Parts: sequence; structure tokens; C-alpha cells
Amino acid sequence: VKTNLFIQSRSAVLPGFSSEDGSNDSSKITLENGTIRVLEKDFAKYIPASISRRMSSITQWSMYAALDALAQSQYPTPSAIITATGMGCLKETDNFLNQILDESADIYSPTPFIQSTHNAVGGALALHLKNNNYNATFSNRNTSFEDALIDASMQNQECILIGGFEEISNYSLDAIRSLYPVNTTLEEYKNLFSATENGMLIGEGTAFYVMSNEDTPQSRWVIADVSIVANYENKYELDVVIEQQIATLQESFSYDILMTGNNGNKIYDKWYQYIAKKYFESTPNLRYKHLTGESFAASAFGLWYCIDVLENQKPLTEYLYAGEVENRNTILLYNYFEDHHCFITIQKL
Amino acid sequence: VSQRIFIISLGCISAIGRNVPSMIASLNSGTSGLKISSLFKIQNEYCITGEANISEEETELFYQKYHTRSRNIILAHCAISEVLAPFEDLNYINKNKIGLISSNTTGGIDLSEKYWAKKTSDNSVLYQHDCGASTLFLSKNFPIFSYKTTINTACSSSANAILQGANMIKAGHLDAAIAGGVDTLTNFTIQGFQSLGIYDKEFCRPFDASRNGLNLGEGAGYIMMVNEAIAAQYSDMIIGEFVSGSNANDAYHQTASSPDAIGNTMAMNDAISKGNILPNDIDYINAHGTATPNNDASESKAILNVFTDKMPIVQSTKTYTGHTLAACGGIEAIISLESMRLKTIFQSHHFTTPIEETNIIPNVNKKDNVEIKYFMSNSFGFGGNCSSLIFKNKA
Repeated sequence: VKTNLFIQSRSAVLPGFSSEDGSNDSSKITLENGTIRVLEKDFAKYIPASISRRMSSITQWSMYAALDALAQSQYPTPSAIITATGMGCLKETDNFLNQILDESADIYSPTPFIQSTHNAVGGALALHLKNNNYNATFSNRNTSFEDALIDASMQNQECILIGGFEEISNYSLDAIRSLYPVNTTLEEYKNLFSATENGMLIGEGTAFYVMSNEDTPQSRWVIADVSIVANYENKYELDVVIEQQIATLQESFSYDILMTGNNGNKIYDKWYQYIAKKYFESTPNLRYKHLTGESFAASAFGLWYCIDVLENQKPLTEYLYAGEVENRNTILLYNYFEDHHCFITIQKL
Repeated sequence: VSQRIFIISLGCISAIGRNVPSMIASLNSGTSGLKISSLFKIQNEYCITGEANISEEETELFYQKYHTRSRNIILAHCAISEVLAPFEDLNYINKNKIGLISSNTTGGIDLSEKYWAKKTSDNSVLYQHDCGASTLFLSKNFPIFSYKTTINTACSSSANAILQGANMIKAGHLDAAIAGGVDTLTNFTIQGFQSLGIYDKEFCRPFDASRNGLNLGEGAGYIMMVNEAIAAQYSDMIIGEFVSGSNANDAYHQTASSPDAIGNTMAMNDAISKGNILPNDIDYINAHGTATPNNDASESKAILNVFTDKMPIVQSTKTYTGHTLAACGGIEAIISLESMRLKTIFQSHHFTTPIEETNIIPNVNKKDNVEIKYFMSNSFGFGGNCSSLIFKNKA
């Protein structure tokens, strides 16, 4: 889908985030038992602590990132708010599940129930900004953010506040560890792809963007295309459909950089390597999930790091790439999880 | 030229029937599906719910075939099967342009509750916890969709799914969309609404002065929307036309509607203006009408704000189905489309005294021979989400 979403500003709370300067600094990343987490506790810059302490942590992070992105834009308030989350506000879901486990209790606190809803973040943003405009939340596994982008591309609006978020809860940790290989022994994030232990890091965080459907003097980057390939139960020969998808994209775009979603699971990493070698032989291949971990919002976080690369914010060794890049104009972000393969084309304006 | 969008097939399951004809039979006879639950309790006492009729045996048969016992998936599967039943094939529809725009709020939490309480050790249920899981399973069960997504905007979810389906067809991304939503009765949601003090122990009484909260229900409602070119191929199947929809936010409170009815008024007004019609064109409103003191007061105010000249017939069908959360927009669009086709506004239950300040009187007795040219369907939710949809008679 041709999206033509012009990005004006962005802000993210990712592992390594520090509220001192609002940066996501990899030197602050620590791993714990296969998780890579947001450790910062102070999110008072935009929301007074008296209000924010009543919010769940994922809402605090998301409010920070959304309001920070908005503050960097020229707009006082958005014309649409679109959020994306595969798992929603998990910690509060845990809390409410824990409460109702006690069947003899007469009274349960409604707070975690209220805060457990997937649209709690979108609702909190509307409430804080006194914003009556379009407000939607997509919750569709690892394509939630892509679906939100496709929705944004149809808005015909100047200021779309759009973001993706996920958080780790105890329940989700159990779930993920019992369903997927997780590298629980990794100590240094940089070694994710060279580790002998097979498995991903479980990540969390939030990333928000201010986008418009028209190019404005303040526009800095554009999401030119969002494409999703679904291949349930190997309905198609995966090689064939991915080849077709990449060929279509390469007809329209000349990619300077390929950013892939390698996650430490050797099956995934092998696939990305195969695709990179086959279709992007002379294109530098960068990776980012050692900085964010895997989550259903991985594309929202990947977009953040793609823009960092476009802006030459960090040395390429951060993305575990030893070489140089000639141009930093067009990046293809390729993420897949199970049967969903997602391609986002990001360009510098 | 703006693309017109037609509805050519419906599918529904709820406490009042497992398909559209059985649901209409219940509505025609005024038979509510609300009753005392055998599964759920509130404060160790009885609890009234609208439970869909899916037996344990059926659940096991479904599990053997589709590898899940997630009730959201079973309910949505029933409804989508009904949507697709009239088609021998979908040859008139481009295989690359048919979408499933689904919605739900409970995901697989019915299963997660059991795992959490250690009533099952089957960790595959964890894979079905999220909202997108049901849509994923459905896409595999019905391998016809080139695009799928899941929306969760609380109780306005399926209204927004229908709106999204329409927008994607208008944008040319899709030629056809099956859009709607599903939700399941869970202890999580029942205790959640109870904790907010808005679950009525007795039968819910929409727009009544004595109303004291909602009764939850479960079900699924999906409609098949197509563009004009495809509608022309299926002209004898056209049920109605999607005119317009609006999504606004009340921005007042995380769970309550504003007393001045800001968001819901905006959604209704905006839908009317996007549809290039006037308030007087609306003949019938299927209200959100949950019977919580707050919603019905605010929605009544909004209706008075918008309809200053001619008052349409107002009705909440939640006395039949209960509040089916993410499914209600889909189910109620279907009930209203059928009302329009049959020229019948069904009776409602438990209404005696109007709310003094607004005096909105919902349709109490069944009315026949009612010409509905346009109707509005309202769905409002937590997070301030307010959506209104407008549909038009096919004639």
C-alpha cells in the first residue's frame, strides 16, 4: 500500500531510555532473564506526577512519547490519534486477573480493569489533550502498527499522532517463555546474534510519531509504502511471495539500507540472512532487535531506529554493521513474526 | 465520484439466536435472551447475562477441527460462516482485495482465566490471549482474506471495524470486506463492570428512570460490504447501503460519558454531515442504550442535541442480547438492517418511566409497516470512543 505518510517528529521510550535527555542510550541497556526492559521511572516532564502516578506504566511511557513527539511538531493538538498494541496493557490485565481469582471477594478495585483496556492509552491521550477527534486502536499481533499506518494513510489530516506500545507482564513472560525460545542467559545485548543459545529477547517500550498525509515544510521523513504478506500454513511457497513483494518494492524504490528484524531465534535470523543475501547483496544490512527485543510493536520501534540511521545519530556498529553506507536516503524495514511479513519503506526528505 | 458501499450478506450469533433468522424470530416474538447465568456469579449471588447457545460438545468438536476452544473464535466462526453461506464461490471478487476487519476486547481471556486459576495446564491457550489471535485463527479457517486486522476501541469496536471496512473500500484497498466484531462472556468483564458499579443485578432497563446498569451478553455480528461494481454482480442480495460513519472522542473521562454529551453528539452530527443528509432523514436510531445511568443520560442528551426538529424512533436492543461489548455495533447494525427490511421496529422490555430531564421514550411495543429510509446505529465505549454509523434502505 502506498502510504505517503510524512513524519514531522518522533519520540520513543525504549530500553535504554533516560528522561534526563530523552535519549535511548544503548549503554544503559541491561538484560534480565531474557528480557530487555524500560527501566526509567521518571515520566513527569509532560504529565505532573500527581496525575501520572495513577496511570499504568505503559500509559506513562506512551503519554511521554506521544506528548514529546507532539511538542516537537508545529501542532498543538492532533487531528487524529491512532495507537497500535498487540497485547495491550498487560500489567493491569494481570492485576485484575489476580483480583478476581479471589472469588470470595465482595469488592474489586475497578482501576486495573479500566486501565487494562487496549484503548486506555488512546483514551488517556484524548483526555489529556481535550481532543475530540478520530481515535482508534489496532490490536492485530505484529501487524498492529502496520495496520495503524494504513489507517493513518487514509485520514486526509495534517497531524496524526500515531504510536505503538507493548509492555512485559508476569503473565506474558510465562506465556512467551512457554511458547517461544527465549535467550535467558544472554548478558550482553550486542551478543544476541552470536550467542550459542537460541532465542529472542522479550522487549517492551513505546514509540510515537506525528505524521501528515501531505508534505509540509516541517516534514522530515516519509513512509512511502507499507506492505504485509501473510502466508498461513504455508498456503504459498514463501520464497515466491516474498520474492514478488520485494521485486515490486525494488521497482519503485532504490534502497540504501536494509533493516531486518533478526531477533536471536536462529530460524528467524537464518531467514533474514537468506533474504538479505539473495535480494540485497550489495545493500548494507542493519539489525536493531538487540536494542529493543522482540514484541508485537517491533515495527514501531524499528521505524524509530531507521530514522536514527537516516539521521546518522549513532555509529553503524550500534546496528552491528561493520562497514560504511554510501547513502542514507531510503531504508527498507523488514520484520516478520510467524506468518506475517511486513515491509515498511522509509525515506529522508 | 465517491464510492458507494453496499451490504450483501449478514452473519450473527447472540443470546437470541445462532443465526440471523433465529434472531429475527426472537425479536419478532419479543423473546429476550437474558437470564440468570449458570456460569457466573456476582458477589456470590446470581448474575444476569445473555449467553450464546454453544454447548461443550460443540466446543470440543470445534477444537478437534480448528485447534482452539477460544469462545471468541467459535462465535465469530459461526457468524462468518453465515455471512459466507449464500456464496457458492466468490468469483466476482478480486482475491487480492477481500478483507476481514474484525474486532474484540476480550481476546482469549476466557481461556487465560482458566490458566490463571490453574484450571488448565494447556499452555497453548496463552497463544490465544491477545485480540489479534481470533482474527488470525479466523483467517486460517476461512482462507479467503487478502488483508485482515483487529480493532479494539472497547464497546465501539465493531462500529469502528465497519467504518474501517468502508474506508478501505473507498480508498480502493479492498473491493469487499467482512467487518464486525465478537466478544465473549468472561468473569474478567463481568467483575470489571461490577467493580465499576454499573452491572445491574436485575434486567437492564435502557432509558428508564430506574435503570441501574447493564447486563453483559456475548455474540458476534459481521456484515459483508462491497463496492458498487461487486454489488452490481450480486444485485439480488443487496440488503442496504452503508452511508457514513464517524469516530469521535468524548475526552471527558476514561469510562464515563460527559454530561453535556460532547463526543456522542459530535459522532452523530459528523456521521449525518458526512452522509450529506439531514437529521430529519433519520427514521430510526439503534441506540447504544446500555442502561447504565451515565450512558443513557448522556446519549439521551446527545439525541436531543442532534434531533431538534423531528425525533426518530429510538430503541436499545440490549434488552434482548445484553451488552455484547465489541460485538454490539455489528449485531445492532444487523438487527437494524433487518428492521429496515421487514419494516418492523421490535418491542423492548422493562421500560416504564422516562428519564425526567430528557424524556426519551424508547419504542415499547412492536411497530409494523414502518418505512425506514435511513437509520443510525450508535456505539460508545471506554476511553471516550464514540462512533455512529448511518445505513440506508437499498431502494
